[in-house]
Amino acid sequence: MSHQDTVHSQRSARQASWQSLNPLTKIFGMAEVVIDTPERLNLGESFSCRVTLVPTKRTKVRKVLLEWALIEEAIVRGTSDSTYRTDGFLDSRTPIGATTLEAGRSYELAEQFAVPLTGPPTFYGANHSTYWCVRLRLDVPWWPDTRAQRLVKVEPTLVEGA
Amino acid sequence: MARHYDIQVNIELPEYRIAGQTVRGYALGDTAEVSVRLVPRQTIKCRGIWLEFGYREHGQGSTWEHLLINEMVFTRSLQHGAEWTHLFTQELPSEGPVSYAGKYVNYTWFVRYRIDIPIWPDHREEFPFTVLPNLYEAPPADAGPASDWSSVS
Repeated sequence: MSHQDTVHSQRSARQASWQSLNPLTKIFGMAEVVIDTPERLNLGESFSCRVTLVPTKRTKVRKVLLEWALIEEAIVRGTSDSTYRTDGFLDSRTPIGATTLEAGRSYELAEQFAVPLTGPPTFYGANHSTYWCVRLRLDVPWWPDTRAQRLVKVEPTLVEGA
Repeated sequence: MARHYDIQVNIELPEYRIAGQTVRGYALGDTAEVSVRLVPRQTIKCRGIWLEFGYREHGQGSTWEHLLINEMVFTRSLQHGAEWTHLFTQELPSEGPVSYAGKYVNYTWFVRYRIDIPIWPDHREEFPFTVLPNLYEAPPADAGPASDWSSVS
């Protein structure tokens, strides 16, 4: 396993455990979310993403946002490190608009995304990183949004005609 | 500061066709071939010349350089008019970063020659170049196997 693969799997595991163990998610979370995507993709490749959303309570939402994003992460080293993140690329969809989600009912969302040909592959450097993720956000009025995210490794391989 | 020397660096960048466009740059895993020609305009008292080859992460965060080559390739003072040439090859790592300029993150590959001058700021000459991802052409979706084994009896 390469160094980049190791770092990626560590980050994915850390994020998954944080999402499941975060006490704020337990208190304020309105739904259980499972995001299903391919583990690895190549530049220029299209993929389908399936999300299963099971509200734990009857939830009124403004919208449900499903996003395919490139995250640029920069760390300023110093006495205390500061981390900055921004979206370098964002493909945002709204599969569900303003509605009320019923508790216990399973909502299946499916979207098709593509990795841009010119996008950078996943790379974890010493102070700068670029990585891709699919993330879901339930926009709940007057309540903390419920969020979930899954990292996808984009290989430094460009597939033309895929 | 007046230039004390003339330097020419030739980086042999191959051409690739990506999405109908011709792009010049090395793909990850390629072997970079670089030649340099330096002609001092005056005698430069120095310890020697360092070759530095690698990539730099920079942008919003702290700058970091990862050098694949960092070695002294010439170990004398440079004499006026004495031409110095150097040629080297280096394989690019298959999982290194590709050249990228984003909002917070930039990855820049470079070749740098550094003239090491005692008790004085070194002269540095840096030459960036483009690194592309590995290129792979997907087979057509309806393509069958490369060889038809059903006809083999």
